[in-house]
Amino acid sequence: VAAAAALAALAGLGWLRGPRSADRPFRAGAPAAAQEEFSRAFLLNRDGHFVESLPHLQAAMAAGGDESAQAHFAYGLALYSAGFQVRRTPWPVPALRSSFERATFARTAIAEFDRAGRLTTDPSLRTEIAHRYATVTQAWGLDWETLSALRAMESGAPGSTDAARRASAFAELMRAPNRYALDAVPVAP
Amino acid sequence: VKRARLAGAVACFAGLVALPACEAKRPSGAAFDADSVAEGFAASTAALMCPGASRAFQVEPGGDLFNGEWAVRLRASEVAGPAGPPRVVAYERRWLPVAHWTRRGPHVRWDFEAVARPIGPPADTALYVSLAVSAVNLDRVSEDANLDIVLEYPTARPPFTVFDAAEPPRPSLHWAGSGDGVAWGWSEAPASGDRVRVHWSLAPGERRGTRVVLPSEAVSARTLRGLARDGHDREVTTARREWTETLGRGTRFALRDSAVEDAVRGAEVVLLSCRERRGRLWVPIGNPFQYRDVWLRDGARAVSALAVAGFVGEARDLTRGLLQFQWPQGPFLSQRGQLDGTGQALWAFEQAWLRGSPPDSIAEYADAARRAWRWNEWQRDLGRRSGWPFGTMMPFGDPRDGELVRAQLVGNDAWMLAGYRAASRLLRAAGRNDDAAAVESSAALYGADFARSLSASGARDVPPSWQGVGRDWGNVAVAWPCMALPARDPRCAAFAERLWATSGDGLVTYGTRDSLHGYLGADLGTWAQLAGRRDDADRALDALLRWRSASGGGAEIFTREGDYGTNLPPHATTAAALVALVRNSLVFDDDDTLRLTLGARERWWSGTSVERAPTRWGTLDLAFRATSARAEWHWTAVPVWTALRLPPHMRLARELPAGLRAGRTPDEILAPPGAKEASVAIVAQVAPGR
Repeated sequence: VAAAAALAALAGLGWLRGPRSADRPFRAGAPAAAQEEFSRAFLLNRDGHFVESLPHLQAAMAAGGDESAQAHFAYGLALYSAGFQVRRTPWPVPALRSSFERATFARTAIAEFDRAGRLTTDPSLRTEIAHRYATVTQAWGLDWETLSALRAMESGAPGSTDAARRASAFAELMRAPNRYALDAVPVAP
Repeated sequence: VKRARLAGAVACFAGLVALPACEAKRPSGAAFDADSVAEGFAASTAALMCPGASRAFQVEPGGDLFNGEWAVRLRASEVAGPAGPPRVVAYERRWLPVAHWTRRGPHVRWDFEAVARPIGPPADTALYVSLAVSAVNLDRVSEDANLDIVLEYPTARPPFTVFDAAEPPRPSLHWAGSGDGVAWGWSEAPASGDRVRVHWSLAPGERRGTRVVLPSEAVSARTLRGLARDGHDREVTTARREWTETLGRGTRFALRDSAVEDAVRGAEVVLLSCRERRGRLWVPIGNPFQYRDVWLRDGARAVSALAVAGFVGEARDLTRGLLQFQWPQGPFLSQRGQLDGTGQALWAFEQAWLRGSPPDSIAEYADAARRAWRWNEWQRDLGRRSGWPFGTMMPFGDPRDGELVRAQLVGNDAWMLAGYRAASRLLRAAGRNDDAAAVESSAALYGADFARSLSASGARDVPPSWQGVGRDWGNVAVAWPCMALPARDPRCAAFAERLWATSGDGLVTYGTRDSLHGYLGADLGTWAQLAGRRDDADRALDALLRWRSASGGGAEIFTREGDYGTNLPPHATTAAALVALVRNSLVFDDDDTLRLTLGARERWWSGTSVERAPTRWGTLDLAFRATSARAEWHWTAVPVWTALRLPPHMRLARELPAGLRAGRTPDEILAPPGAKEASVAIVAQVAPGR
C-alpha cells in the first residue's frame, strides 16, 4: 500500500443522477410515447423530483420501453434516489413516508439494475450499472455485495485502474472500517 | 344514506337547540384530579393516539394541542389574567388514554378532558379528538371567564412534523360552519374563521363547559358534524370500555401491585397505538410523533413485547409487515447501515409465531429465515477466506444511530446469533428438521467464532464493536435477548457493572453522564434476573417505573432532571422494555426451560396470578404465593423442565419433596416435565455478617 488516493466515489452515497441525456434511451423504432414520457422523467429527475418522475418512467416502459436497458436503469436510479428526496412542508421532510417505502424502493432499484444488466450487451453500460449497484448496496450497508459488484466492475474492465482502485479501497475499508475517512482510503498505486 | 342525512340534520338541529344546556352540563372529567398523578419528567405531555392512525395529537406542556401540522391553542383567561400552564397532563390511572389537565387562574380553574377516537375502523387513516373544557369559579364573587380556541400553523420549526403536511401555500385553517367544505375542527360554541370565542359570567361555584372536535387531518364539515353527534361523555365512555376490553384480551397480570399492573397497561396502550397500516399490512412505528417510521431494531422489540403480553394476533400481524423488509438475497434492512435488522427480524418471527396457539403454517417465515441464514453464511464464507482479523463476523455498518460509529458492531453478530436460533426453531416448527440441523450446526461454529473474536478484541467485557470503538448499544443485548453469551459469563457481569457504574441508576447513560436512556439498559434487568442478581433487576424495574409520564409513557433519552428536550415520549421500545422485564420476572421461556418467578418481587408473593400467558409450550396460567414458611406454585403443565425461583431473601428450609430437584443456585428448584404444582418449606436467609 503506497499513496493515499482520495476516492470520493466511496463517499458519494447520496441520490444519483439519472442518464445525462434524455435522448434515445430506447432502440430505434420504439414508440414516440415512450420517448416522450422518458423525456419528461428526465427533466423531473434533473430537478431532483425523483418521486414525481416515477409514473413517467413506468409509463415509458408500459408504452414500449420495457425492453430498454436504459429505461430500467433510469427507473432504478430514480427509485433509489427517491429515498433521499426531501419535501418542504414548510419544514423539510422525507418525500417517502417511512423506511417501509424507502426500503421497498431500494430493493426494487436493485431488481431494476439486474433487469437492465440482463438486457444490455453494452460493456460500458454494464460497468455503469455495476457501479450504481455498488453505490446502492454500499449506502444500505451491504458490504460484501458492494465488494462483489466492485470486483465485477474490475473484471469487466481489465484495463481500468479506476475500477481496480475502487475495489481495492473498499476491501481495505472492510478490513479496517474505522481507520479511514470514506474519501481517504489508501490503495495501491 | 338518506337515513344518515336525516340523522345528521336532526343532530345538528338538536345541537343548536341544546347549546345553552350543554354549556351548563358538568363535563365527565371534572371530578378527575390530574395533578394527583405522578409525573416522571420535567415537562408533562400526553399523546392522543389510535392504532392504525397516521397522525396523533400531542397535549403540549402548555396545554395546547399539536398534530405535526397545526396547533390548537387554548387561551383561557379571566379578568385578572390568563390561566397558567397545567402542572400535569395525565391519563386516567396513568394508563387509560383519556387525558386530563387542569389550568389555574387567580379565581377560575379550567379542566380539560380529551380522548382520541378513530375515524372509521382501524385503518391507514385519521383520528379525531373530542375535547371538553370547563371552567369553575372558585371565588366568592362572580367572575368573567374567556376561552379562545384558535387553529394555528406553527411559526417556528416544531418538535415533530408529518410527512403529508400541506405544502405552501397552505390552506387557511377554519372551523366547520354549516356548509360542506373542508374544515379543521368543529365547535359546540359559535366559531368564526380560525377562532372559537367563549365568554362566561360565572357565579360563585358555578361551572360551565364547552366542547370541540378536532380531526388529525382536514375533513369535510359534514363528517365533523357526524363525529360530534355522539357527545363527549359517550365518546369517553366508549373509549374507556374499548381500551379495557382490548387490554382484557391480553395476558392478565394480577400482582397485587397496582403501580406495576397499571404501568404494564400503559405500556400496552403505547405498543398497540404505535402501529400504522400499509394497505392490508401493519407496521410498528417508533412513537406517535417524531419517530413515525419503521426500524427493525424497535419493531422487533414491539413484536416480542406484544406477543409475551398476550397480543399474539397483533404481534403476528406486525411480522407480516416486517417480512416486507427482506432483500432478495436474504438480509432484512429497514434503515441504511443497520445490519442488526436481519437477526432482529428472525427473532421477532420466532417471538410471535412460536408462542401461544400453533399457527396453521409458518412456512413463509421458515423460508425467509433460511434465506437470511444462507445470506449470512455466504458472508461468513467470504470473510473466512479474506483472512481479515474479524472476517467471520458481520461486515462493518454505519447505522447512523446509537452506535455513532462505522465499525463491525458486536451487537450485529449477537443479533444474528439470535436470528440463527430463531431460524432453527422456525424450521423445526415447520417440520424441516434437516434445514434446522444445518442452521444449528453453523450456529455452533458462529458462536465459537464470536467467542474467539471477543478474546481477540482485547476487551475485558463486551465491546461496542470488534474494533473497540463506538458507543455501547447493540452489545447491551448480547446476554439477553440475544443469549450470545451465557448469563453467568464473567464478561456479562463486568459489562453490566461498567454501565451501571457510570449511570448510578437502574438505567444506563447514553453519550453524556448527565443522560439516562429509557430502554437501552432494560435488557440488563432480564440478564440480572437470569444471573441471579435480583436486586439489580429490581433497580432496573424501579427506574422504568419511575421514568414515566403521567400518561404512562417512557421517553428515549433524557437528563437526570427529566428533561427529554424534543425527544418526546411515549417511546414504543421503552414500553416494550417494561413489558418484557415484568413478564420475564414472572414467566421466562426463551431457553429450553420454563422459568417461573425469576424476578418476582416480595410484594407479589402475597398472591399473584398470571392468566393466558403465551409461551413456547402453549398458553400458560400461573399462580404463586408464599408465607414466611412455605412457597407454592400452580401452573399449566408444560413438556419441559420448569425452574422455580424462591421468594427474595428466602432459602429452602428442608429437603425437597419427591419429584423436585435442586437447581443451579440455592434459590432455584426444578420441576419435571408435566408438573403443575409445587410447594416447598422455606425460611429467611440470614444476611452475611449477621
